[in-house]
Amino acid sequence: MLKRLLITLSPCMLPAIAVAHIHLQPPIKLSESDFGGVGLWQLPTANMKPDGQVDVLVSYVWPYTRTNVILQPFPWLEGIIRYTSISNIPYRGPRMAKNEGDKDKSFDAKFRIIKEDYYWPAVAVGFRDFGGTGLFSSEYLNASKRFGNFDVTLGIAWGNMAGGIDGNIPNPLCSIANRFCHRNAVSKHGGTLTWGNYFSGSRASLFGGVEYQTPFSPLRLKLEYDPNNYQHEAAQFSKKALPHHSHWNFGAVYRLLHVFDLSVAYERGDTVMASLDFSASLKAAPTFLPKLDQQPIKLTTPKLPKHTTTSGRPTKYKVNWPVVVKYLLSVAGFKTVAIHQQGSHLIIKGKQLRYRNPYMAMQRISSVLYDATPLKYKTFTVVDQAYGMMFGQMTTSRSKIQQLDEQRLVPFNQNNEVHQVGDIDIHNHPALNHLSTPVWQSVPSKFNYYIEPGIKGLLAAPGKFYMYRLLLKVGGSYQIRRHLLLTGEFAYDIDDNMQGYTYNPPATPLPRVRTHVIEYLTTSKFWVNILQANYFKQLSRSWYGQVYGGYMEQMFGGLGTEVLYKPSGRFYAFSADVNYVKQRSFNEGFGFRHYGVTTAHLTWYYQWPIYHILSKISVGRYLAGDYGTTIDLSRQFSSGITIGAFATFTNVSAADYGEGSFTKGVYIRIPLDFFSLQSTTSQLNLSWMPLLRDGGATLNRKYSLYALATHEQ
Amino acid sequence: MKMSQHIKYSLALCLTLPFVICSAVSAGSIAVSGEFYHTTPITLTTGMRLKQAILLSQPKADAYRDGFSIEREDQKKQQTQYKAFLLANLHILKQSSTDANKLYQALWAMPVTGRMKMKTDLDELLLQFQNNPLVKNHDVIYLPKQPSTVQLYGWAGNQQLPFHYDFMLIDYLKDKHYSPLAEKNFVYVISPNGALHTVHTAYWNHSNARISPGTIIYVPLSKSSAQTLGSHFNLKMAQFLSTQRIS
Repeated sequence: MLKRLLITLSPCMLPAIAVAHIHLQPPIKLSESDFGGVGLWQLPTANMKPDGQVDVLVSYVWPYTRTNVILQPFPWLEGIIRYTSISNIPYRGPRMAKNEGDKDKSFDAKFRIIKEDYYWPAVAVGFRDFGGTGLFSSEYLNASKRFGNFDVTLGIAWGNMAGGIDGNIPNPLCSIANRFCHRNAVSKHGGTLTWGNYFSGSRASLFGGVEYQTPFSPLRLKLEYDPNNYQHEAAQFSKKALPHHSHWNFGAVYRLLHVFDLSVAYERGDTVMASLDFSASLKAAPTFLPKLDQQPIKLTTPKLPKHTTTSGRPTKYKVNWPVVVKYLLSVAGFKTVAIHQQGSHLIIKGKQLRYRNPYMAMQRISSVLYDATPLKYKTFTVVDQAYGMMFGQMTTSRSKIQQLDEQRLVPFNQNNEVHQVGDIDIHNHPALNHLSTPVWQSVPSKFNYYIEPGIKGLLAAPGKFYMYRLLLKVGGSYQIRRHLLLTGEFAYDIDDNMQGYTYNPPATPLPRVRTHVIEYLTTSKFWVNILQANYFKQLSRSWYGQVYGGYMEQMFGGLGTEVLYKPSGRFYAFSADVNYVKQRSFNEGFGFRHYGVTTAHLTWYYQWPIYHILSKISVGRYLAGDYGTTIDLSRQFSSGITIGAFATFTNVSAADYGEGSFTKGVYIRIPLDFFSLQSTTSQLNLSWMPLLRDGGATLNRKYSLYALATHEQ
Repeated sequence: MKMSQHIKYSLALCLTLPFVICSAVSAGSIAVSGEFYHTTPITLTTGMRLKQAILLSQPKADAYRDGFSIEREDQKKQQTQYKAFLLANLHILKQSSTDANKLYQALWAMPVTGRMKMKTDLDELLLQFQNNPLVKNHDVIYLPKQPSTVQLYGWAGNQQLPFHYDFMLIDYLKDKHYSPLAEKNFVYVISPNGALHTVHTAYWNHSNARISPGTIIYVPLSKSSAQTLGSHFNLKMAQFLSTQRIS
């Protein structure tokens, strides 16, 4: 009884009884500046947070309220997306609300040049507000060195951070080249990289500061010399300079619950600053929810029923395939489509529904196959199959599964992480080309449906920070034939805060392919999101194809086709797609507007062996008829979280494009597994584009062959 | 004649039968030593796992469970190679460095144990179902008494230091004389369970680390000094030290 109780309570007790053999505490916990990014108060330091760290920081110092998202996508790069509300400048956008302050979006980047060591300080170069309208545009070169509990920073700044023309030293680069002596005013359109302005201006400024870790671990103190005198802050738009009484800013940071930093500071000699920062690592999967998955089958304790006669004596072992399939689904989350046997080789085709880590999935599948099949089957190949196409295989053997079980002890010269899943081969097994009749085949469930709530939002729309639309979605798919799929989704608007909102973007010569978004969002309470038919076909071992037609997305419908070349076990892939689409009616019913276009793209995919980076480069014709290229870079962290950024450059000039100058955005994919009690392969996709414009707009297709092949969708 | 033949067969059967029966149920044995109530070798049965072996041996209440080790014969070959590699490299250095000479002497005296790392602590193993490894013939399980010292090796001296519950890692290194060949930025810390960590210890990057009794601290050679030696000398030294029992 006691043993049972102990076993029941064991997961709860583990944190208490697990002995910490070594307790490590970082000496200085790096904190964020008001602008986001590791720094003092107004100024950055040269330090970087650990690789994969993400912070969300909200700071208030009159007249600015800044919301920052800070990412550390690589150990040497810090990137910031910022949304600033400026209360002393009236809103300059197309629709002015009463007493509404101006809004400004900006991007920062900081690059580490030298990593700190025993003798050398950390050295970094950074660009603040380099791609927006340039209100706070600055560049800096700084160095930080730690001495015990003190971290000292010295640097030189140009632009807004230096106080513009009131900088405390002449610009040293001015003596090298004349082009550094003059700095232009802010960009009219924003979104362009103003190369000529970087490190320029008649004056620059030296700055510095110190961060002190007090003996009371959560508390840090920071002091800085801020060279900016705020007399030219946003001078183009505000006639009044900000009051300023001191160049010294000081304050304290308090760490709360290991993930929050609360900061209070006294800045400019007359203003209080307060901020709240939340910090998390993209590398570590959160473990706040226990998983209630069925335990993997232990190899020494078979769970499957034995086949016995009425006399109780075992018969000749005959595999009960339906039971194997049932266990593959319940234990390994694998939905089997067909099972083939070729001598001692067993081939299982199907789709993984629960485990996003392919090795964990394979481990579970292996444990079932090891126990449930006769010893004559020596090797097992699991084929990843979707809509009749085979995208990849993993092969393991009975002996390797046995080895895996024995690897619960780690050799002295290996880390704990190594060999946790055994060596599983990933290759295109030649036997797959000549498969015999399956020993078991599923009856496909033809109709799937779902009813779920949803939310559609526009973040940082002009004049309104967040607009939402709460939906009820009814959708499903009907498999007409093995390769032919009909997909539909209908939606009903339960609530929104968009009614009465109008947005008239500045006139451009481009057809309005995306900027009618408000009309689409507000015209109808009930609409057809998607209604399309897809025909999928595996053309050969590495070639895949699809043809599709219907209402493909919110704004467009038509016909299209795509082919993908993706050789198994290679880092690269190519795809080509051609679509003829027409713009849908604003009510998202079955009607179309007059505008139609043929859009086509060639895309090259490359999975880099470092940092798990995926690059996608597309060239082709976009929805507005413009020609250009899209570059998309993303990195998947060990936790399963993916972050990425994309930019599209087309033959539309910055003036014709309007504010923003070109299309760009960032996105994040978060496994929903983190928030559920049972493992799942589903992901939450969040993307953000600073501005929605008509140039460089792509068609949002429901199914991308590459995404199907790599489980991105 | 018949009688004598009968006695002969009976005698032969009596002598051989126990072995026949034994070999049918047993696949060998594992040795038990240290702070267990039962230190007699355990007869291995098919599919026996570590948890079962520990429960049969019954750890004493005051045993130092963090220092538990399992040692396996098939690991000894590679550990012997590591030891030979390290001794050969130290032999080059020991002419010019007293620390190298002391480390050479200490390493020479260290046994090759075959110790492996466990994925969980002993307490976790006894409560969980997962990560319970199979045991093999000739395995040795060992449980020490709680030590009252911390062991220092490497280029800041080789000595046993008394354990202080209120000491940080850098307190153990504070008054140590670092050789000019020593790495100043970090040390290797080997926890009693054999886990290996690198911990920053220099004036600019030190972490506030607390360590347990029985911990081994290895002050490595600096990167520039280690360049002349075989590859990954420091890491291999730390890994070999992690195979040593807590005594």
